[in-house]
Amino acid sequence: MKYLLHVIPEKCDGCMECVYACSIAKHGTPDPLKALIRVERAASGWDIIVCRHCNPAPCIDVCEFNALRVDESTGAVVLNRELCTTCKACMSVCPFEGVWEGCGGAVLKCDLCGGDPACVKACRKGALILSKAPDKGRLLSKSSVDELLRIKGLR
Amino acid sequence: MLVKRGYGTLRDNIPALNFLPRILGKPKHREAKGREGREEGLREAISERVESTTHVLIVGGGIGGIYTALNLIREGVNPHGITVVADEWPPYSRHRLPEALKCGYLGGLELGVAKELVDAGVNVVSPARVVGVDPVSREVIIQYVGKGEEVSYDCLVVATGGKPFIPPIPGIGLRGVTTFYRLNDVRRLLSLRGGSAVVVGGGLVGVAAAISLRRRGLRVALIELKRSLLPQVIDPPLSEPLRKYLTGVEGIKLFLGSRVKKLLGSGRVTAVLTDSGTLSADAVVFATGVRPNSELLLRAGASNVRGAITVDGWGRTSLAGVYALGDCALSKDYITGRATYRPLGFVAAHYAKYVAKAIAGTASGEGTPGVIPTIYERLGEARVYRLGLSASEARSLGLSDAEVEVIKSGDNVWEARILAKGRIVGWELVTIGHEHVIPTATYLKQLLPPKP
Ligand SMILES: Cc1cc2nc3c(=O)[nH]c(=O)nc-3n(C[C@H](O)[C@H](O)[C@H](O)COP(=O)(O)OP(=O)(O)OC[C@H]3O[C@@H](n4cnc5c(N)ncnc54)[C@H](O)[C@@H]3O)c2cc1C
Repeated sequence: MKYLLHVIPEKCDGCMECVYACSIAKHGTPDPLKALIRVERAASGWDIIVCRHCNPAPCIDVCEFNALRVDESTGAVVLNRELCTTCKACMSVCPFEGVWEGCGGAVLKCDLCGGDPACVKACRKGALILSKAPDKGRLLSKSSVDELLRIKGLR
Repeated sequence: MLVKRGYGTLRDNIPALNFLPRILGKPKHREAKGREGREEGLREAISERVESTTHVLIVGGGIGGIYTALNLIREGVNPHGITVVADEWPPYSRHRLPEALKCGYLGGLELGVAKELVDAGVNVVSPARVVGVDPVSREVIIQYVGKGEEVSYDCLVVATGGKPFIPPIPGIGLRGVTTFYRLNDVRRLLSLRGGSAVVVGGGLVGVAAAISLRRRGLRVALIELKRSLLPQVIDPPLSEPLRKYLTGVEGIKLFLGSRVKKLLGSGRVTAVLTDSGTLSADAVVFATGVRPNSELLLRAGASNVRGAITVDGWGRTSLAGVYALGDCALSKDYITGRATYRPLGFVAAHYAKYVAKAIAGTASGEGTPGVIPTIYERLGEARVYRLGLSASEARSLGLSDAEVEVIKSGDNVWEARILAKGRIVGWELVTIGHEHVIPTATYLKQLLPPKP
């Protein structure tokens, strides 16, 4: 599986800049509950919860409503909210909890801001990396190996 | 489309019927089919291309109904040849009811597709009910407010959904007693200001309702007949940590292996009598499962298993030209190939694709290979995942050697594989709090067929 957005939780210090940037980009107000990215306490520090835009994406495979698809220009996995009913099948197959239910029941999910995500620009800790490069190993620092191993289920 | 009687006066009286002129096509005369005809109809090639004038009548404006309409249009069927008869409109998603109750916000429930369908030219007749079907002459009786008329169809799609089951015990008619199924149930529960609620039923709907009521500040007790929570979703080794979380962290009083005997009160419910004692209650919520709402087709003679309509891989019933899907019908399990009753939204949506293909004539082969359950629910800080079969569902589907293999049992994560006949047939996971990586996609791959 390939990813467009990489999360390196070891570098996250919980500052929430990504969350505010997202909410401002999407709604014009800094409201963490409306943001399409979350930061939560994890056993060892912080974790950033957001869609990685997997390719191939299991959520697209299981959506019976055709509400999820890959945007051709950005490669992002995007949600059509008109078609979604919140059946939660996508959530059952997402390895990162990157799709969730917002207040009132609508499904929330990152759309990669049309290819130039506000969260990545806002993160000054280097915990979010947007990479379409096939050789992403070079882009990532040492600690990210942990992430990759975990993604592969080896850690 | 043939409208036989009552049309003129009805149109003048009921605004919803302004849609009707659009459903009036050329009257279609069909020879009444006898028994032979019906069987012949069943064998009709599914690739028979339906003409653009064909009239498809869909009963029910829920997920099954509206997604069938949408898929028909995608398959090239003329929207003007599609009529949806719905007793409630606009449609909303039941999946969002627990979250709507939790947040006290009802504005996000409506299904976006509804408007698109109307804009595309689909004829929506609502509020109205189909009260009779004659599969031989291919006619239905539509009941509007107080009046009825007969309408003919070429293909009939029955997506009448389910109805919440309430056990027949004394006191269920008292005020303050509700199901957790409709928008109005949530409205009623939102009007409660504190007090205590008793939820009956420890399935996904009951537990989700209990959490939402807790968030609204009520004291909540939950009664479940089985000895474990979510008995239809996960097996006991995984529901046990959930039980601890719900009692310990959420503060919900759980009574497992308990039965409700009677509701007490005069006019309004005040208490629930159970075999574990009496619980005081300002509200009682029944989340005791759904049953198929299928009388329409049962009366017309459709094959069924305990009321759930039998369908083939294309959603075709035993009646020629009649399709059924969603909570009123059976569906096929992918792993065992067996027919089963799974009242779940993604099952309805799955069949909506096959029914549309069959009607549009773009179908070939056997139809659906079946549905793999892909279930997720967030219950407070707990997350419940299930792919494929639970051991208990596997056994009920004939895999008698199905067993639970617990592969992780930590402080916050519990994971199990379900094994039967020497292979993995399911996977279950419960976490309390967020986990960085969840191995769900790996299991999905193992359950899915190898790509040719
Ligand atoms: C609280 C709750 C939470 C749920 N959460 C999930 C979830 O997270 N994921 C999931 O996959 N599933 C979930 N489900 C199940 C899901 O809601 C149903 O499986 C789904 O709605 C079934 O769709 P349907 O079209 O068969 O029936 P419905 O959506 O119930 O639609 C049937 C419609 O037909 C109408 N109707 C009935 N008879 C007639 C008639 N004679 N004439 C005209 N109209 C008629 C009914 O009024 C209704 O509007 C949940 C259910 C509940 C109650």
